[in-house]
Amino acid sequence: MKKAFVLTLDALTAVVLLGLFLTAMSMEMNQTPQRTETAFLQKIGQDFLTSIDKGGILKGLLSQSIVQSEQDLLENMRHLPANVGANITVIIYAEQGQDLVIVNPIEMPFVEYAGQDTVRTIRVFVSEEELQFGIAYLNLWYL
Amino acid sequence: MKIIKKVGSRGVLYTITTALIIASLMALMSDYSTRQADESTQLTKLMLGSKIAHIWEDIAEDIYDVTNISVEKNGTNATIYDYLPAEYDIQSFLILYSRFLVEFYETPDISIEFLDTGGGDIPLEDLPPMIMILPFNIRYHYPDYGKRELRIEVHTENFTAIERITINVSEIYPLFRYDPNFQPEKFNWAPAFQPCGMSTINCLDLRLQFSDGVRTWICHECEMGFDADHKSSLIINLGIEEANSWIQITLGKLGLEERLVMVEFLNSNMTVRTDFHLNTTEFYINHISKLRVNATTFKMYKEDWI
Repeated sequence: MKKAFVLTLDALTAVVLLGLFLTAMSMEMNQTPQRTETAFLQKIGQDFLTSIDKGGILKGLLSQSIVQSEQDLLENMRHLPANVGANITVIIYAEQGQDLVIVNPIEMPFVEYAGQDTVRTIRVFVSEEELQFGIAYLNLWYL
Repeated sequence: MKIIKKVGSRGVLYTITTALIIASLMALMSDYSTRQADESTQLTKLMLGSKIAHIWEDIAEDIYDVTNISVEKNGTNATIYDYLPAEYDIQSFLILYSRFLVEFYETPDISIEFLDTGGGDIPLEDLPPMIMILPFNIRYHYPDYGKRELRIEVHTENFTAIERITINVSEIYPLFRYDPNFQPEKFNWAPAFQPCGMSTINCLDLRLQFSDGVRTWICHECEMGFDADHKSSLIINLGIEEANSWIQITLGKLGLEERLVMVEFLNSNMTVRTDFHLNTTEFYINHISKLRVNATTFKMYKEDWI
C-alpha cells in the first residue's frame, strides 16, 4: 500500500515536471521566431523607405497632387513581399509663422490592417525647392 | 527480509536516477532559457543598431539637401554639384530642419546631436559651410551659406593626390556680355596665365569650362596645366554693361601654402559641377561636422562625419 502510494506520487511529480518543462519549451520556441520576424519586418521597412527616398518618390510627393502621390506610393508598395501587409502615412510640414504646420497628410493603406502585430519604421525627407519637410511612417505586419 | 532489502535498494536506485534526470532537465531548461535571453538581447541590440544606422543615414542625407549640395563618389572621382549663390536662406532652413528633427523625429529612446571637429555639441545652424575631401584636406567652401564666393583650396603637400580637377560652370545668368564678334579666347588672364614648365614645382591639371547655355568658353591654356605658385585672374562680364554683372576666376596662390581656385561673382547665378580626379579610391567626402545618434538603452550610438 505504502509502496504504491510512493510510486504514484513519484509518477505524478514526474508528469508535473515534464509538463512544466514542455510548456516552458513550447513558450520559448514560439517566441524566438516572432522576434526574428519583427527584425525582418523592420529591415524590410527601412529598405523600402530608403529606396523610395533615394529614388525621389518621397520628395516628389511635395510637388504633386494627392491623387498622383497616392498612385506613386501604391505603385511602389506593390514591390513589398507578398506575405506582408502595409500602410504608409506621409505628413508634410511647412513653416508658418513660428510653427511647423501640416500642409499635406497622405494616408495609403496597401492592405487593410487586420489587427496583427505591426512594426513601424520612419524616414524624414526634405524638399529644398519647396522649403518643406516630410515624414513617412510605414507600418508592416505579416499577413 | 532479503526481499525487502532488494526492493529497498532498487527504490534508492530509482530515486537517484529520477533525481539525476530531473536535475539534468532543470539544468537544460536553465541553460536554454539563458541562451534564449541572450539571443533576445542580441536581437534587440541588432534591431536598435539597425534603427540607429537608418536614422543616421537618413539625417546625413537630408543635410546635403538642406544645404543644397550634392556629392558623388565614383571610384577615384569625387563630384560636387552646387548652385551659386544660395537660392534660399540656408541658415534659416538649417534651424527649421533642426526644430523638425526635435519635434518629429527624436523619440524618448533616441537623441540626435551635431558635433564640431573637437567633439563638442553645436547647433545645426553652426554647421561650417565647407565640404572636405579627406584625407587630402581638399576644402570646398564659402565664407557663409549665402554662397557668394566659392573657394577650392588644397595644401601644396597634397597636390600629388590630385590627377585633375574639372570645373564646369553652366547655366550662367545673365548671359555673357553681348559682343557680335564673340571670341572667347579674348578673355584675358591678369597677370598672364602661367602654364607649367621645367621650373614648376606645383603643377596642377585643371580644366575650366564656362557656359551661359548659348555660348561656351573653354580654358584652352589650362590643358597645359597651371603653375599653382603663381596667381592669375580672369573676369567674364555678363549681361548689359549697366547690369554690372561679372564672374571672376582666380587660380593659383590663395594663401601661404594654399593653392587653387576661387570663383567670385556679382549680380549673377550659376550651376557649378566640380570633379576631382584623384589617384586613389581611398578618400571620403564630408561636411566637417559629425552627427551622433544615441540610444538611451544599451549605450549604443553611431557617430561619424556627415
